[in-house]
Amino acid sequence: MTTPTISPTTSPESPELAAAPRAPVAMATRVPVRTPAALLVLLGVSLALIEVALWWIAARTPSDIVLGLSQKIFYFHVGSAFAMLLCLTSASFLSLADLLRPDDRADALAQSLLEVGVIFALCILTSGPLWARKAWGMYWTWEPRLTLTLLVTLLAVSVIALRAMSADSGTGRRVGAAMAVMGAPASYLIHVAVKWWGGTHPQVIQGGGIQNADMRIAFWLAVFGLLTFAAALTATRYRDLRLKQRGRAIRLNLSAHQLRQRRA
Amino acid sequence: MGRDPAPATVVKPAAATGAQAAAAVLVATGVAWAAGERFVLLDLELSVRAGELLLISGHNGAGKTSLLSILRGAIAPARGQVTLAGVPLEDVAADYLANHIATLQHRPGLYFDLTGLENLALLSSLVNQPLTVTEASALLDRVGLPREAHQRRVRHYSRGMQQRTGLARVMASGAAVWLLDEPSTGLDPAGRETLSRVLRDAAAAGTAVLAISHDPELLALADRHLELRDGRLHEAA
Amino acid sequence: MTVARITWLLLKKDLRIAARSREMLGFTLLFAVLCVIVFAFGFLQEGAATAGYVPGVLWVTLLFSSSVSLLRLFAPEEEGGTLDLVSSTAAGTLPLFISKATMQLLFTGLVTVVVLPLVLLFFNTELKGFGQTAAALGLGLVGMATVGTLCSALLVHVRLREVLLPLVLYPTVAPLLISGVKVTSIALAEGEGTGDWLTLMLIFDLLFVVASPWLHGRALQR
Repeated sequence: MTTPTISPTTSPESPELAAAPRAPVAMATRVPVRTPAALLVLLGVSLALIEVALWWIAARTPSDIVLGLSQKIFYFHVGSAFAMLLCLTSASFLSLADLLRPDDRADALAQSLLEVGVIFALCILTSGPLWARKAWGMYWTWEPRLTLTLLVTLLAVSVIALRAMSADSGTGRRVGAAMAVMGAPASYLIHVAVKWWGGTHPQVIQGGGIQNADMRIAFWLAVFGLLTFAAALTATRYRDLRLKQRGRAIRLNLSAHQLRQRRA
Repeated sequence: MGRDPAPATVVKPAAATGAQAAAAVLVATGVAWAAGERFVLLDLELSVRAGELLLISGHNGAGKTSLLSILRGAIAPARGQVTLAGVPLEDVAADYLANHIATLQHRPGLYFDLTGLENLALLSSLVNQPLTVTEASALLDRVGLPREAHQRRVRHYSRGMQQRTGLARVMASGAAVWLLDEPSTGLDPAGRETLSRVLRDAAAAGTAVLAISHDPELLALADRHLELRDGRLHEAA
Repeated sequence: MTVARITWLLLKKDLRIAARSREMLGFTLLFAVLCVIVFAFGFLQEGAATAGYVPGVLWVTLLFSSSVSLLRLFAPEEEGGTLDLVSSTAAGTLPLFISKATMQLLFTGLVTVVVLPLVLLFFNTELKGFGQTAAALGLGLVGMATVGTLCSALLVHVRLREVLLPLVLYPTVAPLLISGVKVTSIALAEGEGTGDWLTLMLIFDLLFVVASPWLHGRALQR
């Protein structure tokens, strides 16, 4: 995890610094920021849940008659899918909120959710093909749910890239938000794609549900573990972005101060 | 969508406490604007009065064009406020703003595949000041665009001719405030003279004219000349 | 009333400009034809069945050529710097959106009229179920034009928009594309059951037609 820092840029020529008995070197370097305990607790809980889920999947759940061991990828695959859909959909709604009423917090949270959503999308796009090689005999098939997931991931990546490219300009922010909003229908479609368009993707949850009790426990452990992990990641990134916003405000104030000094 | 077609905001004239206060149409108070993490404009104060020709100069990168964008409401200042007739720009309905502030920027604000006359007809209708062909023709004559060019596409105009047509568009808008960014760009001596005359006449008719320019001809004419330096406006010597 | 009047003013202007710079339409048509030929290169094998490729080739060609014309949709405004003048009218940004979406619809409609017979000809397929295909194409083009106009307007001032436009457009119109391809393939095989797909396309069209102008107005506000 990166340590967010604020680095005020002080010019060595400034008269106060020259007059000081010892050069305050430390102020000119990056200032480390304390990590709040709640964040660490959240991260700990999520990792513990994931650990227990892993143990449960390995030790307690039965192997699939047809697919054997490869079926066990299902728990983390579906958990990641939940996390991804939740992240991307919330990002769309927060972007909409930011468009309606600009708010730095909504913007930072939407961005964090988008980035975390992409991480989980990558998890799905890795674990899915591994399972599919066993079950379908091929890594990838052009089936609606897979195709839409890939497209939505690309959209999310392009919004992130657009934001990185346009720095902190208001246009970039509004355009990025509108793009994120446009991704919402597609995200919803991933959820219903199999039902609407058919396709070979299995429907365990929307179908009969899980019959075996151990499998059900393993499944929910994995889902909650991954969801709390997603929350922890989002909170970390959100804090990072908020600190960056504050750092920017501080540097801006400093620039105002320097400009006023130059005038005097 | 959902925007009231009728002017949504009723702008009351500023309280007439004094002749000067009443005449100030566009007022900027404490305006700041930052490029990246550096303030370009800071604590900027400006009041543009009706019927004056105000010139602003300043070195490249001083923030003149950004100031103009803030004054016409295209970008919101990081700090401070701009008011049009006493009403903050962010509260003024977009169409009212468009009808009352006309701008001439680096690009002339014309369709290159329409003729000069067609441009004037279309763009004046959009700001509710529809022109007849005769009126549009007369305006183009006024800015010195040769008769044969009226019916030609703007694409085939020279830079100076485009600038003249852009000026005619501003004249046709009937706006109370003109914001012009380097209006003499590309103009020949005769064009500059026309520009000076047009600006002086507009000011005399009660329009508030603000131009960014270093053109000595315009400087000689201006009622006030301010210099943008260190993010603020100073009376120029 | 104001909306209709200003929209008509802007549309008339766009039609006039399009008539004067016919090259753009010509080049887009050429591009669409080229697309079909390249697909034929890629897919056709001597003696193999060809009809299965028709729906995909048709829709992807339409999508590609509509991206090309979308990138030029706001070119007249950008060139002369008139975007500010036409987006702050007495009726807001709505007239601009409607006029541009209409232009895009006309443009892609024209491309479709050329491309459809060409695809059938090249891929040696007989047109069956014309009504269903036409309905799907109509619904698809309306949706693609509204979402496309929104994307194009959003990206006017953005660097690298040539790359970004497809990245936003394709995921958003994917449901229309998937359904359109389905309807076309069912229709060509003289099958049953296109009704559900067409309803789905209609629902998405309604969503896009309402949401796009609204988002356009929100994102381009001062």
